[in-house]
Amino acid sequence: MKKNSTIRIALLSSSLALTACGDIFSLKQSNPGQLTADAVYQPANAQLLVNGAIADFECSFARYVVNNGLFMDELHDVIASSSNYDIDRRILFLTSPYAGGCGGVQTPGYYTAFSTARGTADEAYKRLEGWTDAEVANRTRLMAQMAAYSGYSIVFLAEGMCSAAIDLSPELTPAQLFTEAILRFDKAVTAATAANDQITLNFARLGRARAQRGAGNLAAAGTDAALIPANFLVATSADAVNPRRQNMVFVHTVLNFYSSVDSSFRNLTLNGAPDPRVQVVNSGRTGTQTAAGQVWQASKYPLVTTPMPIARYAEAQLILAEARTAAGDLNGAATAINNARNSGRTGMPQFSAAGMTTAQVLDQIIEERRRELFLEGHRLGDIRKYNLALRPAAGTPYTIGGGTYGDLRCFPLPAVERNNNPNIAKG
Amino acid sequence: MRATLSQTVAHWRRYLAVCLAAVPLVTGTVQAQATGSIAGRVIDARTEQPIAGASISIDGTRLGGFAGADGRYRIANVSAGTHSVTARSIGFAPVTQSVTVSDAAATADFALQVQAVALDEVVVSGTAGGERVREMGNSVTRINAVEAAKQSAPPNITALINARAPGLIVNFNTGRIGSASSLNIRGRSSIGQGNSPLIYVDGVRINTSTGVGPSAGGFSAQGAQIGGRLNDINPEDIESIEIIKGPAASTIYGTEASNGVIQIMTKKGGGARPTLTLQVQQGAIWFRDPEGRIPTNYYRTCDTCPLQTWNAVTAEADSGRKLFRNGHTRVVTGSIAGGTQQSRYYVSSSYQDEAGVEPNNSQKMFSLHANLGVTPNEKVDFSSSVHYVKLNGHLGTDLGASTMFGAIGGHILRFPASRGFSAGFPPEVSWELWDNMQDVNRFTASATVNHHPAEWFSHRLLAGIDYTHEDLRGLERFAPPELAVFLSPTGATGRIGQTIRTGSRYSFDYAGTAEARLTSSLQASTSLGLQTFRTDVGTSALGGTGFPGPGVELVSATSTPLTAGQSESVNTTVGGYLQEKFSWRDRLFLTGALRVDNNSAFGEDFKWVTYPKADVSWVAGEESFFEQFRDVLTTFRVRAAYGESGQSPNAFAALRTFSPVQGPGGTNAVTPGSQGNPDLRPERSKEFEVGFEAELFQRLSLDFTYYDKKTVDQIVNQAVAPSTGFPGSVPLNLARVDNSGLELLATLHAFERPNFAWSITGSLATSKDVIKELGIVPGAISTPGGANRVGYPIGGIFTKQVASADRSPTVPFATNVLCADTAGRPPIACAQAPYIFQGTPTPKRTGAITNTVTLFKRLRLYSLIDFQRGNVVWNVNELLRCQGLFGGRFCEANYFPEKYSPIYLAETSGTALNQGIIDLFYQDASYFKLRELSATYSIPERWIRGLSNASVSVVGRELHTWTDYAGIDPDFSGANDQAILPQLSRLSVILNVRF
Repeated sequence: MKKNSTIRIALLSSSLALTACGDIFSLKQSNPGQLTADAVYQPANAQLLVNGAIADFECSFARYVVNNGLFMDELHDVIASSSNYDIDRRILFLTSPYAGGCGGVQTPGYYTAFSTARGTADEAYKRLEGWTDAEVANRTRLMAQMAAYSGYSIVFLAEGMCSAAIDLSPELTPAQLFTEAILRFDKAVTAATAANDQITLNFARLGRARAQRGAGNLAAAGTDAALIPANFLVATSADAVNPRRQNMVFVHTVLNFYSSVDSSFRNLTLNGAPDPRVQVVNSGRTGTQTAAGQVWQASKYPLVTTPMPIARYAEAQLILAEARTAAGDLNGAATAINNARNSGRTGMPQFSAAGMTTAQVLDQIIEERRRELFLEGHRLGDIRKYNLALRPAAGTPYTIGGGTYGDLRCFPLPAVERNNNPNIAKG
Repeated sequence: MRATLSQTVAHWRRYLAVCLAAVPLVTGTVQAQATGSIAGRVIDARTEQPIAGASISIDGTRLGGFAGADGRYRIANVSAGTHSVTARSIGFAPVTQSVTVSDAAATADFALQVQAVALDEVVVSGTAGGERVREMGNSVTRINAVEAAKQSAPPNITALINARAPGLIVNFNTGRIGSASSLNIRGRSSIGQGNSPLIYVDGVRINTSTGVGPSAGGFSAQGAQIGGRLNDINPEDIESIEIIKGPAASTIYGTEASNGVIQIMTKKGGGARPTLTLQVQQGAIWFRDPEGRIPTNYYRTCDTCPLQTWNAVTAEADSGRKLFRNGHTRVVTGSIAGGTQQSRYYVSSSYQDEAGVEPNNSQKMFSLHANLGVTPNEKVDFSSSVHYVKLNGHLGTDLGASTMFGAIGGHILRFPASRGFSAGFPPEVSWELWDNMQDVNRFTASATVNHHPAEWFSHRLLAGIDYTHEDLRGLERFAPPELAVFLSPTGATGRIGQTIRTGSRYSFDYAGTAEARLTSSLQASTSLGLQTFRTDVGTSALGGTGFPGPGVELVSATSTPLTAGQSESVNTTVGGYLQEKFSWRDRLFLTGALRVDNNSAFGEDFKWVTYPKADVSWVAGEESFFEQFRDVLTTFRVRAAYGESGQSPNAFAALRTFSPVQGPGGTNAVTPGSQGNPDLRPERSKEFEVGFEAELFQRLSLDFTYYDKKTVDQIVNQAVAPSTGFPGSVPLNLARVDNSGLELLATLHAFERPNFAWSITGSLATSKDVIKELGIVPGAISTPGGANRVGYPIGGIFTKQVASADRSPTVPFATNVLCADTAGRPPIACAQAPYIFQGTPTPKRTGAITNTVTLFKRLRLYSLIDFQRGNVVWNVNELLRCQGLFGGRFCEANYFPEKYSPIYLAETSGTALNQGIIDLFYQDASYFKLRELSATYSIPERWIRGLSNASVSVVGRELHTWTDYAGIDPDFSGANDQAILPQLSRLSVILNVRF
């Protein structure tokens, strides 16, 4: 009898253990808030990957415009925060917030943000290349988009960074980065042409023009720029609530009073009348650093949902003007400048190159770009390209946060890349 | 595929049903035979007081019972014949009697002698039936919770545990009601995976999360996250606590046990007749010496203006207000315990109502606890344990949202609009508008079947669940006009953040032990165990800003909702062990064991982990050659143990994932999430400990242990170069930390007279942790504070250190400031100076001294002084006041620089924090505290007719601190002592009556 009870207990225990195997013994791990890499890299998710890459780019771009503005002369800091002082006075550490990814609002990330956007676009392109048309609808068009967005990410790294890396490469100069961008735009143009996707085609052409201009090939830049049709525009698709998709200039200057439009962009006129390209208003209040004065805001971004232009016709015309100036066609340059002025506007005063030297026309183009492309992520690239004077000059006392303005003209390669990239010498 | 919660609960329901069904299955097989019963009383031989909860067992059977509150017990169904009956209780030497049972009831009374070195106490070892202390090669500290609770009126379980086990550190947080402390055993050994021990209640692994509180909507900035689930256990329900200190002892508990294990056993019931116990506690809670501890601030509005001092506490008192009111504690506990011939029960209910020293800090807790046991025959017993807790708390505020912040950093001349309080608002803004709430429903239950089918074999099956539902809300109410003036227009409309978290922890534990006598002297026992533990946690967060008007306090009423959040995680451990123990003449014991584990957080490419263990215990004092020393050394045992254990990675650390994000135009999209590491494995701790227990002259007992622990494969996150396109960091098993220390527990029974007994217990523990390897090259330290660096302790404190400075007539009255360079070099400019190690946040030495005096067997006087030495705490209050970062320079040094050294003055510069020169604000936090002081009087029986027993106690807690720390309270374990309420003092009167 006792033996029976022992056997029963043993059987009971064993059956419990076996039954339990099905569920509580399961060691399969999943995170219902995330997707695993295996699940994502499937042909059925092609559009999801493409959306992700574009989302990463738009998020990075919106933050770059603010970084660009604070670092150079479009915006200045009005918040009492040492990391905001740092970027405003052009003194950066290799671990400063610009090194970060696409998070943050007060001190947005830049290097990791665009590196991620570039990486996700390149990865999506590679996956799409490996899949078939039968598996993925519009595969060629998606490939064109990915190559173009990757190219733009590299352009923004080339224009802003002192150096950067791609896929653990050695440290690349801006010239090398522009070359990398052009390679991607070439692929984008080919694919967009094959897919008959005009928007992506022109987006890629204008990107290539920008990269060629950066690389010093103004003739090639002009050729691409001339093909961009009037009214062409690719902009971010903003959202009211999602912080990754908000208009970051609005968020910084209007919503949070973190920064203000710099005085050099206030009250600008054209032939005596207010210049409609650089309309700014005084909010009447200050940020937490009251010594920084009242906050001025850009009228071109009236809402948190206002899209931010990435590439547009006026930019193409100003590249064309630069190319024509370089080729000695000053009147042609003036035409392009006026095309830019008239794009989307009426009654703008017209520019004439009559009696002007090449240098004067080039100065005019730089000024046209400063105003036309105000807070669109171009100013840092122009200051570097033409070695324009820093404003305020290096060494000027930085009254609101102590110290003086620095002389940086580009964002140094951050520590997170330098320390963790085996192909880059440790600093 | 992952099972849903409901599916899992359904599974467990089935298991419990099967367990319950097992009892009739077994009982049905037993034949009727002649039986009788044994009854009697268990008392303390010294005081003749009953020993409630003493266990009585009949050797070789599952039969046994527990003494009731009156010390009486009764065991039924005992087969006729002669039996060995043993009575045991923590802190007493077991006594065994031979009892002959016939048809009549046999009587066996026990008078137990106090014995600090109780080698025959049975402790929960993880194997079926437990093991005697003498058999184990490692140290296990047992706490007699009934006695400790009576002496100290602990408000929660961490207060009960504190200072009662050498090497166990309670990391006190803020003194606010509802604040929970974390526990560390033998210091800190993991850099990134936490250092808290595993805790079991009646065999069920429980939720011990700390840092719980509202977080959604930014409320973490109010210091709202101070709650913890360990405090849900009512100290009055606890019978005993066992502390298993490290891998050398915890190997068979497997992965997650490397920080030690704490076993909490609740009261079981029993006794000869039902005992009804009623306990009422009424007490006061107060902030001791607030006007002396909250600094007096200096300020003047211009260089030539008169200097004026301001102390928030006295300034408010002078205006007829009291900054910190007296709080109260009221606890009513009722329990009934008893048993019938085949069963025993313990049912208790408790209601606790506490109010802190500020109006927005209080807690009410209701708990219900039932333990039932059935012993149908000698072979089987069945027990179940059920706890339910309902807790409603208001956690108050610390940091920048608190009264403390306003008081420490204020001055009437600097902030006249807010009565001098800094941050621009007087205390009533915080008290009336800001409420951090926690509402908790907790259910913990277990069912256990013990089966002893043969002399040589016993086994046990346990299933349990611990379910927690937390509703955590941070509320800023819509401000009435008189308070709105202190807030921004947006802030005055209020906001709310709510976090709802449900967590279920399932335990399933089978253990069996078979014994064999190999020769007349040699015995072997083989133990086998199989366990699975599963934790499901789901969290939802929501919130919003802007209420339309007063009285509206729900998220749905806000004008701007916050982005909602949700997360779920599951962690499962499956493992088993095999242990072989050899016993030579019951004096020499050799044990070897192997534990094998898998965990769902391990990487896909890493599967099972194996942990070995070996230990030896030799009760040398019982050897014949020891006779010559017996007059001096009455008990002597030496032991040594080596064991390994682990700590699993974070639940999702091994997974490479993408996070869902919004794409262009609001489409679905993904962005790189976690890197993951498919090769990720647990951290592995390897520990060796050696020690002895001795009793000298039957008066002085010593328990000494030295341990040396190495924790390898520590998980560190290596940043990934962004150019890879998949940013973040990858978790790698790279680092190593070494710990070592010693623990000594000594008890001296100084006097043992019928009317006067005095015993003194002292404990001392040292701990040292050193990071030996990091595996990655950390960046240069760029800010002062905690950092992990090779050769230093975990979270070692580094700052720049001022080496020299000259006096200057201008603020901050110091010039030519130079900082220390690396050793051997002369001082250099602070901007170029390195960050220098200042100390460790982990105490190097801890311990306690308790005195217990018993007069006339009725009056017991008790005191506990505990101490921590050798750690540093960042006195942020002083730094902010002196450097002007509250908005004004408030220190005496700012106005009377001649009283201070130029080096100190250099660190009062407004930019000293940014420069990292704050070494003088990391201050030695060593202290001694008069933690507990009590007097308990057992009321004579003649005064309490109708009652079986009654006592009255007066208990004081947190009564005095001896320290050189310049801040408010050194007993604070957080990184920054900034506007943190200190541990509050308490004085309670407790009336305990038994019917």
